[in-house]
Amino acid sequence: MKMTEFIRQQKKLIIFGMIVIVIALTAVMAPQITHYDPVKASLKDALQAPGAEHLFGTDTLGRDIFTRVIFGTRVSLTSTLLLLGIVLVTGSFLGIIAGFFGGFIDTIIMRIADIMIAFPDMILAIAIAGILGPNLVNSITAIAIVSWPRYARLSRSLVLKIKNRDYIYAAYITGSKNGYLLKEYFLPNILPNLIVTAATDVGTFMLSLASLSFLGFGVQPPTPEWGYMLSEGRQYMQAAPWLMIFPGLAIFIVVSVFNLFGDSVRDLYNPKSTVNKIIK
Amino acid sequence: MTLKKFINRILQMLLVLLGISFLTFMLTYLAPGDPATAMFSAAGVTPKPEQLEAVRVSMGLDKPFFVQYMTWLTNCLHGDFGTSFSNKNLVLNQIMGRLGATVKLSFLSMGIMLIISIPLGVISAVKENKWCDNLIRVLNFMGISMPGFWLGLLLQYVFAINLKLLPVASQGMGLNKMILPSITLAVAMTSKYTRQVRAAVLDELSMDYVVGAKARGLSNAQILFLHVLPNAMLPLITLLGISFGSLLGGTAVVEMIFSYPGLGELGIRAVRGRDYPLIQGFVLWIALIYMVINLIVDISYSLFDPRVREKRQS
Repeated sequence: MKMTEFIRQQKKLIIFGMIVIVIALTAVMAPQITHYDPVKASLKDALQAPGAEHLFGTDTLGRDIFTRVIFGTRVSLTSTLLLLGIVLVTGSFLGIIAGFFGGFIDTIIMRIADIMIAFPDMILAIAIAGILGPNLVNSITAIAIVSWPRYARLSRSLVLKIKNRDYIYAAYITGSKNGYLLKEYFLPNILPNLIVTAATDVGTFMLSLASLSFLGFGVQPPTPEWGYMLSEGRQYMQAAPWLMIFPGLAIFIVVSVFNLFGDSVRDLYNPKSTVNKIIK
Repeated sequence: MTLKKFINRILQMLLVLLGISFLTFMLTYLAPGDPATAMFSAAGVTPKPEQLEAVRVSMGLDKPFFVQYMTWLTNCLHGDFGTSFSNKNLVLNQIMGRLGATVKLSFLSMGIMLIISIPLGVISAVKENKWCDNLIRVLNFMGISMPGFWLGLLLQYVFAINLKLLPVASQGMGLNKMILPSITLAVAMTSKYTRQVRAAVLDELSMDYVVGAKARGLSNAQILFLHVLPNAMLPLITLLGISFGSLLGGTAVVEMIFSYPGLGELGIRAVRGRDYPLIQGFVLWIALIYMVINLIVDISYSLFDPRVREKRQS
């Protein structure tokens, strides 16, 4: 396929991919975008309405909301990516092991997964994050603990699907060791599917992390984080609505972009919609 | 579902329940410090070492882990979930006192969700790729990306603070106090459901029986309401059970925003106050409710679907 053809067919993917890059750049370049300090209090500027000086207004400690929203991108993106990485690696590792070896290991891993899935996600995450103690690492841990079973189930089913294919037998008969089989045959086969699932999950993970911090079980002050900013702003809703409007808007926009991006990644991998159009 | 399958399912459920109880019990061991220290700090006292030791013995913390778990489990099975650290009330009583409020809220938001999402999903499918389908899909998309807690705050700001139409916080349980929380909960669910209804109806519309019905001279409305809709509703029942789980998770945040006196608000306060017996009771009960609902969904699925039902008779 020629490059121009690819661009024409995947307009959606390229547009959203570019917006994702812009968001990532915002996180990296935060200090260049704004000249205010995201954490230093300046009480004489407290609770100013949005204007030319402070684009999104200031909070109760006189900190510039625009600056905090921009710096919040860093916290949100890094913690989401970290969480995604942990869940993807541990979940698929356990799932692959379970599917590949079967038997006792399979039973143990999958029964534990069953038990974790029996809890509504957020409830267990709230309990774990709260008990471990409120901070960013613990909130990531909590969501990872409740999220890995989905990836384990998915990767296990993918492994089982190809386990009895002839090329796997062929590789086995010709003397491939387990490690080699997993690395050279199974992983390349199931990785694309796992990555696509991860891409569609970015928005969800971001929302879960933000809601934990909103509840006070995540990032602690003075770190600029959108969920926590919302819960701070909540008390001043009547006098200073900008405190809760802009951080919320930031979450909404960034989550939307990542959801749209995830959807277009999925369409690229699994072009069901185009097939449907041809049939009709 | 055959009787044998049903019994199997129940046995599996009991096994998972045992796992759930173990995990819930383990939660306490995640914490820095032990439950005795937590009990004193929840009450706001700094204990002397001998006081701490006495409480440890009375709580059974000097016994081996497994013995502690068995004692706790036996007590739970007898309906004794312990007493709350912070106010010395029975955990079971506190949970039962809050359960009704959360169930009411959940059903109300599910009702709102169904009333909105079924018509929208059907319109979206019937008018596929027309402007109203596109509009509905954009709205859905926004609903899915909307953080529930932000939506709650915005609704509070607009309807309770600016327009003063509804109360800011819902101390009671009157209908006007449930409107904002239930709408907040319904929005994300409605978006997901509308998508599913649309997909299910589209699936059914492409079936041969639709062509057959058309050939027999049935009107479009007859085909849609008498043939397509009943078939499309079936897969949605399963989804309803799953949404209930996310609903239970969502109620915690939303109840907190609107200070609605439900189970979720109790749970979050328990976690904040490190009130372990209450946390355990809360987590255990939510998981229990979730499991029972999924079981009911499974059973009802086999009752509604004639294909599954007939298998049982033959």
